[in-house]
Amino acid sequence: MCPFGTISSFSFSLLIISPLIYLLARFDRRWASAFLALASGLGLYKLATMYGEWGLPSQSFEIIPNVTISFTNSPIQWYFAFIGLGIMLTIFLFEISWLSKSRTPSAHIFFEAVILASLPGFFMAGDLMTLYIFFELMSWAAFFIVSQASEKSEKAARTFIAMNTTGAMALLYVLFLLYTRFSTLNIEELRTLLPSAGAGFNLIIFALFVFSGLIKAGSFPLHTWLRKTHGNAPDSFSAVLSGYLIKYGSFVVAVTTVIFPSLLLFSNAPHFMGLPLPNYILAVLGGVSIIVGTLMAIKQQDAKMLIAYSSVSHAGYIVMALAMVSSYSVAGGLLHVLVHALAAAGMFLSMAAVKYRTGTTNMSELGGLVDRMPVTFATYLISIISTAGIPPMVGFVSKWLIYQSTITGGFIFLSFAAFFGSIGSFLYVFRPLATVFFGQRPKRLENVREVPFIMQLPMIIISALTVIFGVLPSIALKPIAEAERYYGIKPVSFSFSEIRGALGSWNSVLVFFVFMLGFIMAAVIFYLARKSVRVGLLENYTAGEIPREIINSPELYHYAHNFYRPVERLYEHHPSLEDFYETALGENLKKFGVFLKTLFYNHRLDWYLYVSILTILFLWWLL
Amino acid sequence: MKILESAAVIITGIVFGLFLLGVQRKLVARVQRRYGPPIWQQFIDVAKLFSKSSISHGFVFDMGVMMALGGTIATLLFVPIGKLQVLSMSGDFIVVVYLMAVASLGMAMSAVNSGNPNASIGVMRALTQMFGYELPYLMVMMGMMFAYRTSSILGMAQVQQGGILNWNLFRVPIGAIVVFISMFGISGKKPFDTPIAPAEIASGPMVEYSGKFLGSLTLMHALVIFVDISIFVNVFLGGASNYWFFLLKVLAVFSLMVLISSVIPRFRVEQVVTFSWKWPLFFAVIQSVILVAMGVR
Amino acid sequence: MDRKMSPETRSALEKLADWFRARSIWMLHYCTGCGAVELPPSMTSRFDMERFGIGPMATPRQADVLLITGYLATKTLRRVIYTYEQMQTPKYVIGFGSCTINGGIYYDSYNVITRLDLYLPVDIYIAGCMPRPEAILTAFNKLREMIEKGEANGWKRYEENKEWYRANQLKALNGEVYVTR
Repeated sequence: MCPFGTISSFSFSLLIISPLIYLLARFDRRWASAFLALASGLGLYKLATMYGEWGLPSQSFEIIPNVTISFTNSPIQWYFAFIGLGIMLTIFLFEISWLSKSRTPSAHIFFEAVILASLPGFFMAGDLMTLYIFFELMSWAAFFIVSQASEKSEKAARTFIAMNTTGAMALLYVLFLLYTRFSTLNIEELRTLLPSAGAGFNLIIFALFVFSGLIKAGSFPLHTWLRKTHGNAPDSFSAVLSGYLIKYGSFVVAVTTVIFPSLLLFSNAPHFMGLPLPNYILAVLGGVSIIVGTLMAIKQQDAKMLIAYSSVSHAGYIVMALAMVSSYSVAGGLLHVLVHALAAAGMFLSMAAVKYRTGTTNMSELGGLVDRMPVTFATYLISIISTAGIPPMVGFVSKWLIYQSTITGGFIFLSFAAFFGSIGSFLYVFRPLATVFFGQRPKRLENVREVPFIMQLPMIIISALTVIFGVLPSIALKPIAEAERYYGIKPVSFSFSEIRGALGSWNSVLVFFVFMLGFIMAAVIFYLARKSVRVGLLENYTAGEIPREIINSPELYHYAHNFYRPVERLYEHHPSLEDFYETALGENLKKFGVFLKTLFYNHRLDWYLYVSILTILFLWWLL
Repeated sequence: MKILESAAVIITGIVFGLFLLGVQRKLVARVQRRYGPPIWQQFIDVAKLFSKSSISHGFVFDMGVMMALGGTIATLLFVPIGKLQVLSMSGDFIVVVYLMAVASLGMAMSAVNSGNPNASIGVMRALTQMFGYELPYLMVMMGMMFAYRTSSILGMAQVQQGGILNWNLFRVPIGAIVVFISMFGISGKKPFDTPIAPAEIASGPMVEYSGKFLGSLTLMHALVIFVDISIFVNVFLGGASNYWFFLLKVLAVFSLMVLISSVIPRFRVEQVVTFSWKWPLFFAVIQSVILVAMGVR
Repeated sequence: MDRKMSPETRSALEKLADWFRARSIWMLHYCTGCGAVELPPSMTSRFDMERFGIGPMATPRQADVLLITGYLATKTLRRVIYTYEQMQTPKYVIGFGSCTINGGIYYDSYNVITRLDLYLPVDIYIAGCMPRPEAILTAFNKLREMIEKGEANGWKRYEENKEWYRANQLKALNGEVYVTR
């Protein structure tokens, strides 16, 4: 059995039967979602059997002369595809129940089937043409899903498609350049051919690739679509967008820096601290992305938009780590892909669950849900511990590996950005925790219940994986080390429980057990003392007075609005890139369009006269 | 043997940490020309708190307190205390800093779960000022880790052996001062005590704690102070080969901190951030540039 | 009133706990009366209460002793009761000045309570208008002795005779009192 046959047949058969899935969803949306969950489970199984069979001759077929669709299997591609399919599996499980809240469930599930079909095709692409085709397919499907959520989301979807098409055009231009130069688009062949090309040519290829990658990854300076799109997309689809669609961009960056040997390509370029300047600039862009994402996340009022900006920050970590192309940074960057996929999916799913029951994600309208939705709360908690990079969750491992690389390289700005994002993430991840799950519960949320079990299940799976990979990161590091070996980077050294870095080693199992030991000791001290009396939320220190207003509407006694006002005040009047693109770029583009229009559709006769005279004068001068 | 050593470290941490808090009260009293409470006052306070009744606002309220105390106990085991080095062989600086964050997260979670806005405001202030003081601290440590090629606290203590002038305090003076300032923030000393502002927000995160909750958090506070100063002593004052000598160094550093903090007023919330990002961060970056460019002399 | 909880029935552990309680007294000021003005000198350099382990606390959850520093209008009595019930046991009450004993100069006022003992179980009164810091310190030392001997049982009295106290409180407050638990 040829393994690539299964990947291509997986993609194509899903594409072909997606109309049938639409019909199935019209009949019963739960079956359609369950079917897709099953399909992604099957895909995961196929992928698991393909582990270790790297670089087999790729199967290809011509769609038009000289343009082939081909698939291949290499460790990085396998890793990305595996994560993507895993996240999709949990989302489809979640949607079995969630779809009842969708405005257009059948169309939603249809386009998600298309996205699922595009997934292995994109990540396992053997050549850049395949990559491009599935990239576009995914963009269009995602565009339609995003636009379905509400009235507001149509504008968000337009922003999304405009920026993604720009990225896709850059990718297409790269394809033209590469094809005219080498007359092949096969990734493996290009790997060996690219070093023979000149540095200038490589720089253009690198820049265009990075341009399209940064758009897709949602990294500075092209992150502006993320807030609107993630914030306004259908709730469960936000998890798809953040958990895995922006990994398309990370993958493009990985292709640019790791799969194409960027260190070799730019070995003659000027270096900074031992890193080629193009790579360093890319890493700095990643660092700026961390800082911008962090600062913007702190000031968001809506939980989904907050998580969207946290995705900007994490995309920055991934871009920065992959751009440094060292043993630790690549391992850290690739592991961070997993970390962020799990964490973003966990956070967005828990927010989707909150919205499923309460109808809003605006943080100042919620509160005190911890007693009502304990599983959702636990998922959110574990995801944010991982996001903030605190042991014993997996988020710490990737950040630790990235620190090894920024510190040993002596990159002061990059270390600063990494620390900034890490400490800043404590601030922004805590805000939904404090305002949605803790604090006073408004009267109207008194009867909120936990979501049905089928929606809890994916959240439990994601939380369990976050903890398991955190205690035993060696499971996740195995394919990563394999990938590094495959692409000629020194693989990161680790054993079952210990990761050995450049600066020291870290024993995850030991740390976990010592933490548990400390926790048990604290619990013993705690429970030996007198038992405490459980009191209600409203029995609180209120300086001796408990006004009737608070008893009637407890949300008045809930600190949620403008949570980080003292920090926000420090950068209140910041320049906004979003506004810049919208006004300076967008408006000027519109003016230019209007100008062009007047050239062709003007009904004033004197205008034609002027143009004719000018043209005649010009020709007279020219000839 | 390891178990005995662990027990010794934990008991040292708790007893000496509480002793330090007693010293703090006595020193502040002497600065204010008072007689001050007995030096063992903190032990009495903690014992009394555990004997009192208490209220709980729910499961997370309890669990967060246990997480806070447990996280600090776990952190303590990774810090070398003189010759007592239980797990300090694998005591990576980054791991220790982030393990401390577990404790802070636990306490923040528990405090906010009380549903009291004063607690939320206190936690917001704590996180805000953490954003300020942690950055310069980590930037200095980044330079140190680069220069010594190790992130092990024990390793950094060992390279300073052989005379006082080998101490990082003299080799990396700017960084030592920056970290010293940041430690005021970590241990909640005077210019950085915005989160626990009794007159403004009714002691912030502590507002709803009573009895054993307050007792556990006092223990945690004592441990946090001990761990932080231990890291400083190990990294900048050459550690110590003798247990008592180590404690003496900790006491000296802590006394200096208390004396400074007892005569300066409190920052406003955002002033903490602007101050930290203006001066300590500026000097921290200069120090790390020096370390990266020239290494340690 | 019933004095069933005599000091002799304490267990050894309770005796030890009382020893600690006597040496660490955290105050909560209810500073509506003029007596509060005598507290800063008692706490600062001149008289230094902290040498006895006595210190101010911010919230009733943390405090051991409630200081009623002067007259109580019926309006404030409600808040005092609410605050007292939020304190954790064992808890003590000190009445400051003549106003808490017999109304003081407000003995015939229409909206000031004249006897605090009817509404809250006072452990110790400090007579005087105003009591000097020396008197305050004496009272605190007396309270320390009482706690150590297990005689400061006001909070037990309050729990046992809650109906009686509640009835008094309701009478003074025209039938409206905050019930916290």
